[in-house]
Amino acid sequence: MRIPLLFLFLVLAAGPGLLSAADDNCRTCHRDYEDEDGPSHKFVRDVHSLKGLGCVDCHGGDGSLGDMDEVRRVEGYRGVPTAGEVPRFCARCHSDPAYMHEHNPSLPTDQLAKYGTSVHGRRLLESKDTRVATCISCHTVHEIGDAKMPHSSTYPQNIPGTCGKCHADPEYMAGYDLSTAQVEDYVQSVHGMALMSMETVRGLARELDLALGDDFKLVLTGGDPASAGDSARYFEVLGYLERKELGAPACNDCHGNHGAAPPGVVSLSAVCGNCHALESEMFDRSPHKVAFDENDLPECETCHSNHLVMKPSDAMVGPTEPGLCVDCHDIDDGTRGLAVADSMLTAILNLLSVRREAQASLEDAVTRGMMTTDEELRIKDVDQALIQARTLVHSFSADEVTSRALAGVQVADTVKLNSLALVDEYYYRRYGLAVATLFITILAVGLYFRIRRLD
Amino acid sequence: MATGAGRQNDGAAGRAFQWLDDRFQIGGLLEYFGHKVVPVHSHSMFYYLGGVSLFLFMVQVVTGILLLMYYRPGADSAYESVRFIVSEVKFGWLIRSVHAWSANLMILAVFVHMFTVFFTHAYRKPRELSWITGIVMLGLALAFGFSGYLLPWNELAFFATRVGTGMAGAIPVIGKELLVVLRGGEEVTGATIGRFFGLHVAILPGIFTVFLAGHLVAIQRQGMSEPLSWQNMPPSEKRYMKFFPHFIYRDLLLWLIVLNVLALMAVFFPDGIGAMHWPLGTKADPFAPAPPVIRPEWYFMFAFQALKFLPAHVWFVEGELFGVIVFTVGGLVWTVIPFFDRKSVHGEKPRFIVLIGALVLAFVVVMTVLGYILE
Amino acid sequence: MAERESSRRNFLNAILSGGTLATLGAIAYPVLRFIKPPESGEPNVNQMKLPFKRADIEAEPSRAKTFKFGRNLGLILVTEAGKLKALAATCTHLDCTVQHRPDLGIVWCSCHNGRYDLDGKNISGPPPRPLEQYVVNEVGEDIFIAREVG
Repeated sequence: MRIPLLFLFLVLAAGPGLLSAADDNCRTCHRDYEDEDGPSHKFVRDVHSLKGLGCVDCHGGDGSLGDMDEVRRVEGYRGVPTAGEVPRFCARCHSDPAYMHEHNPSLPTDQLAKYGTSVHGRRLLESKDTRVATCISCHTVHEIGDAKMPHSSTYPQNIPGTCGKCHADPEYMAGYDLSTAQVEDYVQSVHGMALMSMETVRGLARELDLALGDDFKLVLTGGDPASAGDSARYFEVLGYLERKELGAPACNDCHGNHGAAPPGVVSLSAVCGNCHALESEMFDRSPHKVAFDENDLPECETCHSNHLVMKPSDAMVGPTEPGLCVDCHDIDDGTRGLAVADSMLTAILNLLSVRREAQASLEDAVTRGMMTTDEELRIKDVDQALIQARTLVHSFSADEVTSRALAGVQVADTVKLNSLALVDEYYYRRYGLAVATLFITILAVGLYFRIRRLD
Repeated sequence: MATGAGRQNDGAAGRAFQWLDDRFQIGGLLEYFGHKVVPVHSHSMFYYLGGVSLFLFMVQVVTGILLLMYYRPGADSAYESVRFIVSEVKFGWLIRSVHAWSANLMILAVFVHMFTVFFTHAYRKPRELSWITGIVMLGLALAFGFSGYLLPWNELAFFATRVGTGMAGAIPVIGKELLVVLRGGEEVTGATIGRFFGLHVAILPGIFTVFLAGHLVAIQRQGMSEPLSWQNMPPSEKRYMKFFPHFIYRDLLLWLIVLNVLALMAVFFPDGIGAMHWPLGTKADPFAPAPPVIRPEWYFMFAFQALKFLPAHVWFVEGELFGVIVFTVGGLVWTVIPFFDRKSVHGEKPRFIVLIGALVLAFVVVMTVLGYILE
Repeated sequence: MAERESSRRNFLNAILSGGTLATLGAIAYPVLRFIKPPESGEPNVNQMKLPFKRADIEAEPSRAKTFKFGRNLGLILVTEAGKLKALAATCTHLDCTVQHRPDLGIVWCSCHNGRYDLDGKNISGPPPRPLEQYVVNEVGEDIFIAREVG
């Protein structure tokens, strides 16, 4: 009886050791030393752990050993890298195409090379500035997540927070000649509002102590819309903030991931043009392209800002304030600038006013209960023309904007005509009824008298 | 002037009559009708209700046939075809609107007709079969209403039908089978449209016509029922008017007025008013969440509301089932009332039966009103 | 007296006949207009015939045309190989109307540079879903568009 029991005891004692993975000892010891935020606890969530890699695969050493001194003596032991060593530490695998091909062929292997061209990389490698971002600043360490996972620091909605950790911290950024308002601006811009959710923005505002506009804050706190200073802005923010459009750009979409750099003066248009291709194309063939480049003016940013990109309004175009054209143009500056601005604005405002008329006529027909689906579809063409005319502003050609707007006006007129016809039909029915009632009444009266005579 | 047998046999009408009489000997038939009389008394106004119901039914048939020319049953085409009728087809809006108004007014007229017949005890011997065929037609009219309501395949109708057919499932034993047969499947789908369409334009009209014919033949044969008070009255005190042409002309006049009312309603309230409401709205989407308020049509509201009031369990029976049983039994008793009413045959007021009728009427009215107030 | 009586009777008869005719007319007129089919034929639900021909599409600089299909807009284009393809024309991103770009061999949305291949699959940019594909049938000179079933 004793021998089987002893055997059982030995198996139970040694079993875990026999059955364990190579680095179980790393985890076993470190778990005891560390609190919940320690690497050995966090690592289970890491994408590397999920792929079957362990402590030893990055840090070297030998997971079967129980003594730290022994571990340090193992050949190839790398330990904890310093800030400056981090990029090459990760690149050991991530820039090895053969190795990556085995483990995740879909990942690129040029991150280190790109990093070397970035502002962060150059400062680290050339100026030995260890305060700049390295791999782990953005990806975290020991809980690295796939960018597609919502909890990952590189998930689109989390990127402003990840970059903002440094870039929105005035104390940390002291000494660099950089603004720290980017995250604040971005979060209130159309791109930021489209991408982020209310929850994420709330968290970010708290964490980074962002200075936000009053109406924006009102939406975040769920306050009474009646107290909004600018109710149009209030509802705009409200409408955007729950879109959670992952296609909207975050910091990395314009600045690049590993090759992070501010887009150059000429290349900014290319960056914006990646999505706003038509506007970019129009701008490039407009007289502004040469003018802006010669004057070192950033192409899109000059009118639209870089981070605080707002929904553009027709008021941005025009020969007088609040149009932006007068910021550079004068009446007698030798260009047709202000005249073109005037034509473009007039054409668009005219289209808007005709559309309003058409909408009013359409609503007349709708409230009278007439069948308006055809016209409701047709008026969308007017909206299409409006979008196109507004986009054509970037060509800075009065002819193009005017002709497109005119096409829209014609459709709007058709909608108005047809809606009026529907309203006419409404009255025609009542008229027809009156006539029919007259006939029936005549007959009824005749019948009544016939009945009287019979009795 | 043409009155009964004293017809002049010249003029176009006279020659037509002669032509037919030579072949079919219709003279006798016309003489029979010429002698038919209608009692005249303080409640003889109610005699017109049956005729109004008939008129509205005929309007239904005509407008229904017209709608048939453009309506296309099927989940992919029903809604669109009704939209087409209402927006593109000339006067399509009118035909559809008249059809909907006439349907609702017909059911209203039939209900009032039934209650006036009840309270004047016109169902008593020898007119039991008139009553029974009438009740059957009421049921058929409700079936017409229920089946027709689904046909535009809009959101309104879809959910009302789903709830309505769902209740059929509560019936014991046959409930599940019945539900599947009604819906043409487990759920309300295009297959349901197919069935309801067949019911609405072929099966129900056929059956209805048979019962209508029976009802009309019985009435023509037996004449109008006289009030109870006339049972023991000397004949000299009873007043009558000739059916043809006096009553007919009055009937026609009323029909003319009803026609004008229909036209007025169709133009000013094409989508109905208040509880009678049938806007075309949006197409049915089985995957969309149910709207916050689902209503049955007003003529089912009393039953719907009554069922809502029932607790989850009455004794050991499930609440909904109990309700269905009570309504079914109640309906059957109502149908065979003539056989329980011995008193009115002898000219005595059947107090108890009148009380029952008053309670039923009150119940229907109160439940209907509550159904709308408590939404 | 009898004359007054008789003329009153005639007047009444005239009213009755006239009134009957007028009423029957007021009923018959809408019914007859109803029976005559409207110009738009049947409602274009799941199938329709395009109001233009293949040659019209090929003549366009963008080698494509838009058409109204039920309550939506459709786009029909002709590929380099000469095949006709029809898609829903509303971008799945923010509802702009897409266009055919024969120079790029794609369907393009100018609003935010969304791109779809010629089968409607979203291949680049913000659009989250592909464009619905329609079935194209050419019968002689006529082009028929239908929704895919199932």
